[in-house]
Amino acid sequence: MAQTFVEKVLAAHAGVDAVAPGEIVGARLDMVVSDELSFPEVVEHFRELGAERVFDPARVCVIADHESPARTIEAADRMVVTRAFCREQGIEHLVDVGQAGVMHVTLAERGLVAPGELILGYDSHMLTAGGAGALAVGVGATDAAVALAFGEAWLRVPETVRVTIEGTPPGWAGPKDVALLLCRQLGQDGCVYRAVEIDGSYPAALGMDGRFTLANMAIEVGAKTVAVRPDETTAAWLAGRVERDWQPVWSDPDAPVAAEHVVDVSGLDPLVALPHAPDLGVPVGEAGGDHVDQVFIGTCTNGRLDDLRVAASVLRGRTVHPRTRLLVVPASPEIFKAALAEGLIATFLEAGAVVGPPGCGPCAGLHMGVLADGEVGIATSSRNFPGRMGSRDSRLLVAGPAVAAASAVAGRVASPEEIAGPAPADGAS
Amino acid sequence: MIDGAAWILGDNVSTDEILPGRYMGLTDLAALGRHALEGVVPGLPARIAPGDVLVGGRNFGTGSSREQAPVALREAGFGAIVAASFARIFFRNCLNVGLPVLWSPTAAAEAREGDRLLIDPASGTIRNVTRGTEHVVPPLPAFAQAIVAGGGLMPYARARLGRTLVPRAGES
Ligand code: SF4
Repeated sequence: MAQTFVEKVLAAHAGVDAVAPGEIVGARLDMVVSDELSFPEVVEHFRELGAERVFDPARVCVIADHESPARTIEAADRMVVTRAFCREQGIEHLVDVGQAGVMHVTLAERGLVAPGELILGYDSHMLTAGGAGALAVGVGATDAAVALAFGEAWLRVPETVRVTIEGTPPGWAGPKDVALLLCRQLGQDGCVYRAVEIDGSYPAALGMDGRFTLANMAIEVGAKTVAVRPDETTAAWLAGRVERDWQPVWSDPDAPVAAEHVVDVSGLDPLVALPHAPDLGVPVGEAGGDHVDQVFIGTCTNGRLDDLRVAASVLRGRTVHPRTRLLVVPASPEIFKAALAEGLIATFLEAGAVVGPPGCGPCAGLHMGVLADGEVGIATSSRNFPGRMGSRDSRLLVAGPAVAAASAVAGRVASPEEIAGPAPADGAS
Repeated sequence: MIDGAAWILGDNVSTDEILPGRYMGLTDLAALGRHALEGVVPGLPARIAPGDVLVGGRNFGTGSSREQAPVALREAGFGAIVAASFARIFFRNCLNVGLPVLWSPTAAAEAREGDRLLIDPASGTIRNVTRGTEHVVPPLPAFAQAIVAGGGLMPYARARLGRTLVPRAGES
């Protein structure tokens, strides 16, 4: 019988031939992941459970990204708990300050995800690993603790939504704009409890950075998980990162799905999601041109090298508006180093940006650049729910790196075309 | 049986609003409860009575996976949540922390602030006493029912230590 990607992966991990949507399976996990802010909560549940050893110390990964380097004494104390537990259990992949980037970026860079693998993590953007063809699912602390003890999770087999993206956007529009378009078309609850599979000529032509951006934003339409069809681009990126064997897994062409969407992006303009939801995207020209107090370029959505290149191409030879602050946070040390080598970091500093240490930065409103009452921010992050990046009375817009950089120069919501002219010929990637 | 007054919220209430990120590190459960819904209706926990019912619109609990969100609502004293629909991770976290969640577009659309609701999570029944109506939600899958009936995932998992989490075919 024809099966979807998610059915194949779950069946393989449940040790059965086939599974059907709606069924609950006990699935063996290839990797269990947490950030450092939440991990002590997971440890507490693990102890409460009466478990003694984690199922496999090589299959647990904890990454210090949300509040590191420690933002408060409490955060420093939490990290002490995390380090002690990881030492006690022999956990190999505790990725601490200096090595850590945003968890979803670092996890993939370290070769801890591969096509067809099943990843569970305590974070809603876990599904970003679907950019590399893995099946990754976000859960809460109790599930994560149980996963640590059992190496297994109970999962309901989701229906699949197939999204085929065709065409190439002109000018400055990039993967984030495509993702914001999908959010607008499908709605915040358009794919709740469903697996999204992304296919078509557009993702096939994208590099891995752009694919991770597309996968990352699937949570903003409520998806349980997402995958981009793995191909030679995936294989090339994984080579040198993943040493174990892996096989590309994808849906059979005739596998039944719950819904199909075909999206043509060939005429797409850069979009901006207005306060306070990622599905409120409008073309940048219709975003109102409000004054912007702060621009933040980074995160698991848009803090990768391609994103920094786009931002730098807008900022090169220009300066940040005197009444606007620009924060750039490379998503990982690997990206930071590459950006440094290419001269991107110098471009940011010369433009008047502050460049922060790899990690989440102010994305979740925790530290390093939160917004005050009444302030307006633009971020390249994934979501702009009320109070997400600071005060409940702040207003946050979400856009791609080109619009964010242009707005930093203009001091208001601005299009990259207006600030920096036509996009470079090789596209805004 | 849960018996309480309805408190009405809108569509797409996010976990960033249910429990703002800056409180995520709190380990004192009562303190978490005091900050519940601070991003939507500040001060609400002080006004509710234990067993009151939160009624949401579509996609309730969207966004961040923070389990502190359902824990804060439970600690604030809410006895159950009824919504037109739920975001996946939030729904799952509620089951895991033992907070009854009922997926009922009709009950959610009809309820008004202060209506008295009588809820039996086991049978999936929501009675709106003020309006004299009854709504029945489709049952959860058997495995999820077993988790809720046992008071959450922890007691369930504790009883299964040393075996697989989900019973395999043929296990007695
Ligand atoms: S960058 Fe933002 S969305 Fe991504 S993991 Fe960090 S806090 Fe979450």
